[in-house]
Amino acid sequence: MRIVIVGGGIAAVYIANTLMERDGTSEVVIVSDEEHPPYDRIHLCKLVEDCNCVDSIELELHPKVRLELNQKIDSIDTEQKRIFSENAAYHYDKLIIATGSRPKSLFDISGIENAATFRSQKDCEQIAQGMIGKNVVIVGAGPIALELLDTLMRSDAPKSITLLVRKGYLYSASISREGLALIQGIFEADPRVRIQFNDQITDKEIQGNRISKIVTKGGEIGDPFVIFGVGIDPNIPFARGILECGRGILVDARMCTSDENIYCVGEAAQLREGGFVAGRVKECILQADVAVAHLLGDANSLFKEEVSIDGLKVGSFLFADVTATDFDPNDKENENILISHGDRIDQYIVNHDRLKRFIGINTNIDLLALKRLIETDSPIDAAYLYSNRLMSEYGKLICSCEGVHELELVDIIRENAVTSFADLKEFSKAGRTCGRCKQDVCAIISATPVDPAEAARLRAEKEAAAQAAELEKVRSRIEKYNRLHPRNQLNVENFHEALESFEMSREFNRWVSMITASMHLHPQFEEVVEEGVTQLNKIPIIWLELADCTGNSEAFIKTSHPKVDDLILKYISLDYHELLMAAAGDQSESALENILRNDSGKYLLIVEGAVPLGMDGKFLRIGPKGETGVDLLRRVAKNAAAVMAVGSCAYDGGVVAAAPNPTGAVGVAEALGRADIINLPGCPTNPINIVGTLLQYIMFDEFPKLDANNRPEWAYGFRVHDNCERRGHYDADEFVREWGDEGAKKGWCLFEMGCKGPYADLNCSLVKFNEGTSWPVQAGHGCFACGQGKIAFDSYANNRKLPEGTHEE
Amino acid sequence: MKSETKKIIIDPITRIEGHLRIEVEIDENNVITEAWASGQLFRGIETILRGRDPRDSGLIAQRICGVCTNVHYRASISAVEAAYGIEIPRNAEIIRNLVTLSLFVQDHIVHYYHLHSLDFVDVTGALAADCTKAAKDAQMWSEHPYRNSDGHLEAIKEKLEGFVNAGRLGLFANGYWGHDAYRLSPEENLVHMNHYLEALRIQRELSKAVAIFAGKTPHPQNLVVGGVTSVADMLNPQRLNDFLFIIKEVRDFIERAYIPDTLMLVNAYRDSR
Repeated sequence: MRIVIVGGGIAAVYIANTLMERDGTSEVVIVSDEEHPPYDRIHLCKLVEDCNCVDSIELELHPKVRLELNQKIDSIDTEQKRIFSENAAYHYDKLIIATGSRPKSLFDISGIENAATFRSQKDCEQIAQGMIGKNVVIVGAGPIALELLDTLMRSDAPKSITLLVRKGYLYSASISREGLALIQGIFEADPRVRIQFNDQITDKEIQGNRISKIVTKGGEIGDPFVIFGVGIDPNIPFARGILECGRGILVDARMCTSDENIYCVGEAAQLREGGFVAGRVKECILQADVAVAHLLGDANSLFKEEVSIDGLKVGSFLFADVTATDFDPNDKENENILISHGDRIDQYIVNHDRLKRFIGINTNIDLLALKRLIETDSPIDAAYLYSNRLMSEYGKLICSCEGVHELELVDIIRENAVTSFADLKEFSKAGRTCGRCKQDVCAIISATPVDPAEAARLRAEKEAAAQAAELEKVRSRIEKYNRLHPRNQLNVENFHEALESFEMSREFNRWVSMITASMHLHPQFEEVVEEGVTQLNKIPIIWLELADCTGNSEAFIKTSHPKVDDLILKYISLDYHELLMAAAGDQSESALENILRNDSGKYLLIVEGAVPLGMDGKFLRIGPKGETGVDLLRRVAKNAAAVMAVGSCAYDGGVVAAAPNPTGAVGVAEALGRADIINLPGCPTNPINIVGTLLQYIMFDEFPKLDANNRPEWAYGFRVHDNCERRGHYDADEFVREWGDEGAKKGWCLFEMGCKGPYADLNCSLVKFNEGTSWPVQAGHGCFACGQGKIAFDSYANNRKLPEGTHEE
Repeated sequence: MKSETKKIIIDPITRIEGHLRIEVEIDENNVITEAWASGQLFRGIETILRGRDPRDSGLIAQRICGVCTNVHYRASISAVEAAYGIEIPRNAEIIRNLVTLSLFVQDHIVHYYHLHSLDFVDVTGALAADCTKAAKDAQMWSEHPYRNSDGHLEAIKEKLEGFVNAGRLGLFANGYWGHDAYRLSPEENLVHMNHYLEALRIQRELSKAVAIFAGKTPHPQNLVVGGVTSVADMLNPQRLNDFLFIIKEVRDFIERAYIPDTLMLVNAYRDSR
């Protein structure tokens, strides 16, 4: 798939990088109208101070992303799926528009040397060179204008700086009078700075390509350099008339525009519902996540506006702002609560006992706690605010995107002996999302002395505490299972006795280590994993075989392969299993009825095989009364604590549902119409993955983290291809081209022979089969992605490469 | 149907692959007069195969059964080769045979020891055995019985005691322990149980032997029309050695345990003694 992103800012880069991380098979192209590779606009102020530092604010881009610079897009052909610039055309399968916005100016300033907007690297160059010795006029009062003012104050270049404010406030109409006076005072401490409220440009005098004089309501300013910071318009002229637009390009909650192949995020986009336009990096990134997820096939992810936390850090004060999504500045019921002390002002805007906005100057309130207050819609008690108990114990908030406070950051730095911003990456994302606080983070890093020995000690201490807590939790879980099912008499000692009998103790220990590692747990967990195993028999389990081949049972349980896994499964209270039960016919039926009656709500149901629905389910009947497979499944699943679908047939019908699906077979989840079935596909499923999932259930009282297809991530979160022992040969272009050729003898990559490892999400390459003896790729055959379900048997179960472009994620 | 006849339905038949139903009619003397066996599952693998590329038959036909998985795999691929008149290389034939025969041996050992033998061998009966006598008795059926020293048998007996005392254990559950239809002497029971436990390990080794050349079992993955894919394993002396080592060990077990035990059992359960 070819994904084209139009735009050159943080959102474009973020989307490109996320796409490359999540799906390396797509081709990703960024088309930007700037001459520089994407950089971080948040740091434009820095550029004004030093025009040559554009490299230092350049955004990190995945090396495989193609970058097309100096290409201003003029139009889109949605039929042909092409976009056009003046001299080039780009084809796309999916298009993402992240062009942001264009700054407004109050009159046409094109061609004028001493007037600029403040948006791009070029603007910064112009400002830095043009302001020397001039009377700088900044038009605007918003955060960007203030930040620019602060930057220019630090430079000796301007002769004077006038901030021209159309109304009577700075930053926001909601700011308190006290707050306004405070920041005005801070700015005007510089004798060059003048803030003119209720003033605007009424006229100007232009000589050649220079403005020689501007006239405002309050007077005249000669020899000016004018900078507009008065607002923005979505940068979407190329899309108007082609896509449905309001102020921005209209999108739904999936960030999809009126054309299903085109997405739009950030300041260029306007949500159909509510008309929201993102203005902050965090929101843009949330929107980008939604667009990427939807593009890669996750239909469930929707963008939701969040409580925003914003900050403004200028030279001599710090601004913090938390705003509820439903804050209405014009609501007459709004009530201001002001708590000030010296140069600190905390302003709460409350409406009917609910906090709607907080504006803090030099505050150290816990902003995340305020955010939670708003999110949970908790009532606010004014007395509570006055007592000021929300003081963050971690110091002031440094990174509002990631919610990292100063002292937390200091802890992270000390514990990990972090000495540079690059070092920090591994431990915290602070300073990396919007980048605004990067300089603050760097300052804290350089101000925090670190000692590697002390860091190691602190780390060990913290880890030990966390692990002790976790172990305690797990033990109490196991204790609970001990109390359940007293009729199962097997205890830990007997289990070990049995292991001894089979001379399996050593192998058992190895097995425990292996399964612990496979579940991504620390080796210290081996002990509890072992305890968990001994408790497996406390859960009653019903194993139903439907339209199956017994392959999963065979792999797992049958005595013909008494591997350690099987033996352990003997200790599960496997109360009903057609293959294993000595009882048959009526007796087996009554065994089933007993569990359904006595262990209702407690038993686990494991299902192997597809569910034939054709002919009213009569392709499969079980039991003396000839109950159909689907009826039996429904009856048994009804009161199960959880249902696990084991094998590809139970997942989505597997081979049984392969075309033309003669028996109308479906997977367990579809047959039951339930979304909570845990899927463990594979043909057969590796026993390790079943045991690991059961162990997790016992130890943590929950099933492991599942992916979008309800498969445990720890086992299905890998592509076979990525962890393949032959991967090095793929990268080196060394392929088997014919069965038995030199490459085959040397164990080269099987991709050209139709290996479907790149399309298979499973851990086979890590755990292998039959006690780690081999797996299909090692046997030179290649993978056919058996765990992907029926598609494997219709498209992958062959030794041919997929035709170009047929693979869909 | 005569009034005194009775119909019995047994469904599901357990301990088999597949959904089997047996219906029988018995007369007043409990003699079966009529019987019907029917498979209760239809999947239509044949229908699914129709119209596909013949080369792809192996991976699909294999899924007919997860227990005898390799034979469906191999047979369907051989059928395609026969249809096109393809001769496979000699080495490929050898590898195919090694895999098939390893599974063949494994199936027999499992079927005999783990699925059937406990109908003839009394686990609890072995607890009364005299180990010295047992070691000697075993020599009636083999010159060098498998792992047969007094000391070893003593250890096995202890293990069995622990095992029986351990309570609910899947492997040995649901036996008719102590029933007088059991005919082996305590010593014979012990000799047999000794080998039952050894056989568990032997089976595991055989699964590995299959996997060495076939990638995994069940559902091996090493065949294509025209030969086998596991050439790297075939050319690797370490893999050949691993395989050979397992097979030698299994052969030893068969000659010194499996065959003698069968002879012992057959002798004890002959219809006329």
